[in-house]
Amino acid sequence: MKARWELILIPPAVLSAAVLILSQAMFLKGSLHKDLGLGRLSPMMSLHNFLELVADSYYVESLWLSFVCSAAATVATALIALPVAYILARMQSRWAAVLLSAVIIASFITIVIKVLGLLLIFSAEGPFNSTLKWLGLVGSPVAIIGTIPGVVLGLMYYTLGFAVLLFYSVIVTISRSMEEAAEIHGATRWGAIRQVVLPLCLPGLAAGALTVFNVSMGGFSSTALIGGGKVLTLPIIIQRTVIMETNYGLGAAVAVLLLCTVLAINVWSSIILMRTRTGGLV
Amino acid sequence: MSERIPAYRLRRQILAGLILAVAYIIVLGPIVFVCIASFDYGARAYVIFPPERFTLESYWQIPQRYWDALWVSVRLAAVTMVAACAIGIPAAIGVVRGRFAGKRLILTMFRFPLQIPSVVSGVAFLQAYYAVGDWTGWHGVGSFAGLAIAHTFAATPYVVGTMVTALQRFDDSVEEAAVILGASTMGTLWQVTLPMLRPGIFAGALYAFMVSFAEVPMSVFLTGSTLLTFPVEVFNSMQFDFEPTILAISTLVTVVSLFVVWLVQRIVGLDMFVKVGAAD
Amino acid sequence: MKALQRLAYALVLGGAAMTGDPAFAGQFDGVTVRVATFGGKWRDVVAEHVVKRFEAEGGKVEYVLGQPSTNVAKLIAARGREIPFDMLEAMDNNLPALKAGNFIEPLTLAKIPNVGQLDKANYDADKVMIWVTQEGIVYNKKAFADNGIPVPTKYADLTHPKLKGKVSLPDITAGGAMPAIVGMAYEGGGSETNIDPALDLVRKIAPASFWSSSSNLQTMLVNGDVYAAGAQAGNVQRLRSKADLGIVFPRVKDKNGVLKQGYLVQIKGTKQSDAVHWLINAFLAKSMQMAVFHEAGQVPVSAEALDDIRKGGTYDFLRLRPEEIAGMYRIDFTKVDEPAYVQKWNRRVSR
Repeated sequence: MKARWELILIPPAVLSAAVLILSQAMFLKGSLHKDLGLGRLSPMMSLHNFLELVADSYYVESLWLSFVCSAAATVATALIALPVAYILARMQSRWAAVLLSAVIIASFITIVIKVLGLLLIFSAEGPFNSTLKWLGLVGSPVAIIGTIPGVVLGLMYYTLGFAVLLFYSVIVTISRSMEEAAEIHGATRWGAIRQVVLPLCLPGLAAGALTVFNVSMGGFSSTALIGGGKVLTLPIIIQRTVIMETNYGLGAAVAVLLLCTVLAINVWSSIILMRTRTGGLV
Repeated sequence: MSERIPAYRLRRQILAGLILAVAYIIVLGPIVFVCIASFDYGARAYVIFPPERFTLESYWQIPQRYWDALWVSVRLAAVTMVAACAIGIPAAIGVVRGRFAGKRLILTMFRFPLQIPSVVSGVAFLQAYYAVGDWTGWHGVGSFAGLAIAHTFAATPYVVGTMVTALQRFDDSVEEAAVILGASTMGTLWQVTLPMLRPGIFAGALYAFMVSFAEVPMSVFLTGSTLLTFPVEVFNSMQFDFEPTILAISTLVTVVSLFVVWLVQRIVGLDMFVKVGAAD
Repeated sequence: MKALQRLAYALVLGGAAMTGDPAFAGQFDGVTVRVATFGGKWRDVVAEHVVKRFEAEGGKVEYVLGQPSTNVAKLIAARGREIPFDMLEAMDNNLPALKAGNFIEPLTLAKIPNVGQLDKANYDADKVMIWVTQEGIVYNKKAFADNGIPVPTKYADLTHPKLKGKVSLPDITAGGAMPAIVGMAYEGGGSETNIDPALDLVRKIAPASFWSSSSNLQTMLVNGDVYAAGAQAGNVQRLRSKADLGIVFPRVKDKNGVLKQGYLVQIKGTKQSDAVHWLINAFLAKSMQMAVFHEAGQVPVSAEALDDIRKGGTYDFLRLRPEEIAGMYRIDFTKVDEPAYVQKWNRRVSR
């Protein structure tokens, strides 16, 4: 007598589907109404908002800016998270648990607090600039407020915590014995990583990196605080349009633009990943 | 070979240690700075660093609204954790073990919210709540339930993901043994399977709690003037009304998080989180 | 033993009740008013000189903090549901939107006796002016001297090469935005109706950041991240003990500097109208009006406060004599299309 496990799936599936469809449908519909100012929407449906997105290059430029910042942030995050995740995954001492907890705690701390710390560190008379001056590397202080690197830094911090956990959970599934076997056969440590471990966890890592990218595209609190009103990524524009200007229709349209872009990138990446999997050695 | 290994190991360990040191300084640096800076309550207009003096003054002066917001965040995260698990765990079990076509589709649906940038979800829920409000009179914006639904929406994919991974690595043989020995399906589930899946469940629940507690973009759209989460309260403070007391309360949150994690380590052991999906 | 405990408990409770707050006798017992106002130092000033007296009458105030434009947006977003606050501190540029959205509940001026202290032009049934700020260019005297930068006289001076990365201008969402923009517009040959010259100048200045919180701006002015900013005299006053700041009022049309007016309005749908009137009256009382000047560095509107201040001496960063105040520019907001300007700003600023 085999259990029909599908049945317990039904309530959660129905609930999730309902919430998903309802929320997305409402908002998509909202984008099809013109704004009348002061938060009111015209009762007729029209493509007015979308035409405005296309007509004014401002939105597309902002989208490109968001893409660049998020991509850079993903790379930066991966550069730090991957080595850390690998080392922790391979660690045999009890320190692994402690270090992981440190990462978990860092993720509890909301991004705004980390940004506050960053602003302190990078302020004109803060430690970063003082050290640079002392080393004689720069003549005048380096600022992060209002700069794209600053925004990338903020986005990196936004995703760093759970990126480590995500990559860790992928790497830890590859048994250590695989690397050891490779090394016994003469591979260097790095060679073993490159040719044995990496190919095996590539799908998982890629999925992790994609998640990091998605989250970066959607985060705006760090950008709002560090961007200094100058770096206007798409989430910031959405927030301004919806909350500041109460143009709900246009805001929804811009959000649709962001969503479609992110989805497109995800689909495209999945396709590429699948191709490399079937094309290479499995 | 045994003479070679120690030098080898040492080099590796030093390298690993260095990498970790640099990485952790980067990760934890800002947080540590905030803690240090919280001990100097300078004049209201600005923050100074390094601190000129050491005082706990700002801790006593934390405005009530931060405590209120912190309490909201804790309750919200707890509710989200429970709801996300209630939805995600049966969903994962059903998907991994069920027999039906379209599994990938269903799984994609559950994991879909991960693909939606949080700011988009925020706008989506805002609009949805307005529309629902016009129909039914229930106004979700600025309500605890409204926030909870949105947070659960964002957190459930994490639970589903961790549970699916844990289930896929799960060794059925113990379950089969239980069934052979006469246990009912439900009994097996409760007494054998779920306990063995504890690492996955705990990890998923922890993710859900973390996602909700630290969430900012959606919450900015869905909080009202009276119901604010802790991150949003701090965000507003940094934008409009900066005061050094946010350093103090942030330090407190850090310390409490440390304590909670330590507690979890004592009671359940962090190897739970460490071992999710481990193949060793 | 149990009975004894219960008795003790009852005595303690009873005692507490009897020695309770004299506020029991206040006229605003149990009344909570939500006031939307600026945060930071301003909120402290309000708390000390207005809210404290209100609390002595048994009342309670909940603050809804933010720039007025943010708070107006909250009003709009509330959409026929419960209003987010009862009383709003707004600025001249917010009034058109408030009126158009039908958010204002007219006041019963008879309940606000202190309006007698005001110039008749400064209040009507919809709104009561409570302060005026003088907007110009705030700069760090020491930083300028140390770096050999000439003291600015007009907005265009902010393009000085040594000021690169050291200037902050108000973000479009900040209260100080319109005065700076209009000022720069006139300097470039534009006006309230044509702000393109201002946007061009903003791009040329290429400020390090746009401030949206005066607290944060003050932080930056003090720690040297910013040497000069489009701001108001109040910032100079508030930071008097921390930094040596000066302010310059550039020529705008035929006047010097820009005046910005702050008002209090009652929000339609409030259930605490009496309390709101009382609070507005308290804002106009001498104690608060003097604090507006001494602590926040803004110009009060009450005649008795202004008299006192003029007798007290001159201040190099404020224009206090009537002819000086008359010599400052007031923006004609009927000519300002703020939503359109916000859109323009967003586009020009990010490129």
